[in-house]
Amino acid sequence: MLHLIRYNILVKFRNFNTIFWPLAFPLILGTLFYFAFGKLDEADFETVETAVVEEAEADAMFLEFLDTMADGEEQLLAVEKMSKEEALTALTDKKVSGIFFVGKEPSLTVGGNGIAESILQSLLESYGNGKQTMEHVMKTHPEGMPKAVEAMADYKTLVEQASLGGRTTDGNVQFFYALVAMACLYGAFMGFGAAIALQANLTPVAARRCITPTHKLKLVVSEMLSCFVLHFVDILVLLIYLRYILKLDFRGNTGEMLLISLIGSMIGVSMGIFVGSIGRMQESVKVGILLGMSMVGSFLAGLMNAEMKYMVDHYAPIVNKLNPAALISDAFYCINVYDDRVRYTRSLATLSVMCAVLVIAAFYMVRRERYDSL
Amino acid sequence: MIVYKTYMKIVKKNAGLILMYLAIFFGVTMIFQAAVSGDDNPNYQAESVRLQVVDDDGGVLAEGLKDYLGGIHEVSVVENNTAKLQEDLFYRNTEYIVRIPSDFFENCIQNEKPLKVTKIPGAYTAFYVDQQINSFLNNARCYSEAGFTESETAEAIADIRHPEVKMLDDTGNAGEMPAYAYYFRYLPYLLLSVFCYVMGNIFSAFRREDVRKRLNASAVPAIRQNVEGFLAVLTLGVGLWGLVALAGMIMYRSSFLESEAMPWYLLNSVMLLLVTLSLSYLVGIFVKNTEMLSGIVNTISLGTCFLCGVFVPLEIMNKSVVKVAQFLPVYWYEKANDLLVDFGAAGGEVGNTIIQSIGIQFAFAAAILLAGLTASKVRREG
Repeated sequence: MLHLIRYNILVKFRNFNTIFWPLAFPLILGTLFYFAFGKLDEADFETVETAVVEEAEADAMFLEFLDTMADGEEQLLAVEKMSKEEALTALTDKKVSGIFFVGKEPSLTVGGNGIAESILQSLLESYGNGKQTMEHVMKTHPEGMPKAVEAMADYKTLVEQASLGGRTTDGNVQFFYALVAMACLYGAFMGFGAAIALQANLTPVAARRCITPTHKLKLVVSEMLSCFVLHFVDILVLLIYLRYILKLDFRGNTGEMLLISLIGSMIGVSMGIFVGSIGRMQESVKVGILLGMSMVGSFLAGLMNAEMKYMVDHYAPIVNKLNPAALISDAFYCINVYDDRVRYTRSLATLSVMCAVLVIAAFYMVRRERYDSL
Repeated sequence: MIVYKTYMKIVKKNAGLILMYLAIFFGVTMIFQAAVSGDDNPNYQAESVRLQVVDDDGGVLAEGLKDYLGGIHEVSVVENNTAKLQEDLFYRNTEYIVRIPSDFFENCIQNEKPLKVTKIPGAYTAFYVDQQINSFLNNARCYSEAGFTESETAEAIADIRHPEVKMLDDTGNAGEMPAYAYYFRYLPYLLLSVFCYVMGNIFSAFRREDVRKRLNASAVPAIRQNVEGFLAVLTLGVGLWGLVALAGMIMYRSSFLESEAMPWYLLNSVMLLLVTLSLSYLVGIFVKNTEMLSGIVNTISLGTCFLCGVFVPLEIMNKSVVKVAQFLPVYWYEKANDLLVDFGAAGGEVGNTIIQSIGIQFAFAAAILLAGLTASKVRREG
């Protein structure tokens, strides 16, 4: 048995498909992800460039307010005084996100809808509100005016971030969880290779193996075990790469991550074994099915666009409760971002059941196969 | 035209694959468009966030805060159930949770105890909501200091005016990215995948040792073989490009056809086509079998697409990565595209930059082709 496993692993090592897709490709893709948006947050928050056009009877308070905001610690704004024409050209050339026209009533002109524009708008709004507040106080409780002015000058941060158990602040880590999920599913190529290497009507090697006196179950089990072991190692290499070399947020409990990797690699391999054992379709068709399943699964789990996963979760929640890629990435999310035992356990349980069903179904399809002639 | 026919035969064999990539391309483009396209409102709209409020207070001021936020965001009031809240954050049903404690007025306004909020880790929209809530609470604090009671404060604060914001619409896109811009943004993925795969297949088939020997011994002169091969490549290239352009015109009709930038988008995509064709030639030379081919093609297509702003917009990418991306042709395609999106029809200084970007793609195409021809010669002699 050990002898069989050893040679199975050696054979797989020399096969392009079983090395490239489950191992090399996720590493390459992970590196690309890392360069494309792994460090997105660092480059992300930029100061909002703003033009200010002073008109007649300019509201001096507002100008001062803008200066305070520009000098603040967060450097929210960069304000530049311009003439009207200059400002409009700058806005058209996207050099500034908006123009404050400061007359008696300050107004804002923007060139689009976006976060920068919204920030400018809410600045203008909070200024307007402050002014209005003073007017109200003057009208209703004039005696409280000095205190109100004092309170207004002493602008306080009155919101506080309270965690629900969340850990990471990296919004992009989701892509990498989906990537690990994809790598797990790509184990399908390995499982597929194993399945067709045992079907005598598909490959000559299988035909030769089928006439050996070795018990069929031994052949099947050794193939499966070698696939599981090899693919588990693939996933571990990927995880080590992501965690220690790219230094991404894979800081959850190591044991739990290993468990996800183990079950994840098993589900990939089982999928491959299952598809490889179905009926008499051509090899290329089966490869197509596998590729389609793993790619669509990973796509819906947010591999190409994180929004995708949330959209699926929102409009068709059942899909991602059964999609192995989503289950794997969810499980990672649970232990790395939210401490959510329930979902973690549910994801892994679903995966294990699927795994068992696929392998048993595959076994029933290939067992007792007899060939009259080959 | 036997050589031409053989090329086409191989193309036909790959028809399923071409269709698959087309389906993926159209599907993905549609999905993204549907996901991002807002209504075509020419007026300015503040960014709206899905927000949940847990209200343990229920007083008038708490109502006031909810109304205020409701004026800008999609607010839903939910129960204080941590597991459910966590789940909603997890699935992005909400991006921001505000928890109003009991005795809101006493605690948060009079005693200045911060209001507890929860945001999605890393989402920067949250920053902007913070600012709004802060502004609301600070105003309320002002009123309370001035001697207003809770209900007076709530009443005074309900009178908040949202300032008017003017939108300068110079591209005709109402500040939004036009839908067809997504279509052109994802185009490199389609072209790279299809051409590198199909052409790589053909070129590698023709370069097989014994096939080449037979070709050399055939009565068809080498020049004719090359010309026919070139014609075949052109057929597929023009065919696929035509299909894409036509589909674009049908899908986006007048918004695309009437756009002044339309010819520029098309010109840009023709350059991209040249780049991919020469790249596929280069790939064909180095590939030994189809298994390897799909590995190489996927690496090249996904690699360039991720690094050059196809999947992730250039403007939000890390600056040093963008610098490296400048050494890849697809970067220049996307750059020209982004400029077309931002500035509409090309003219003036921007127009020059666009023409430059298109020119650089042409230079890349020529350079890659040259590299391919050289490599092919070296291999033949070696």
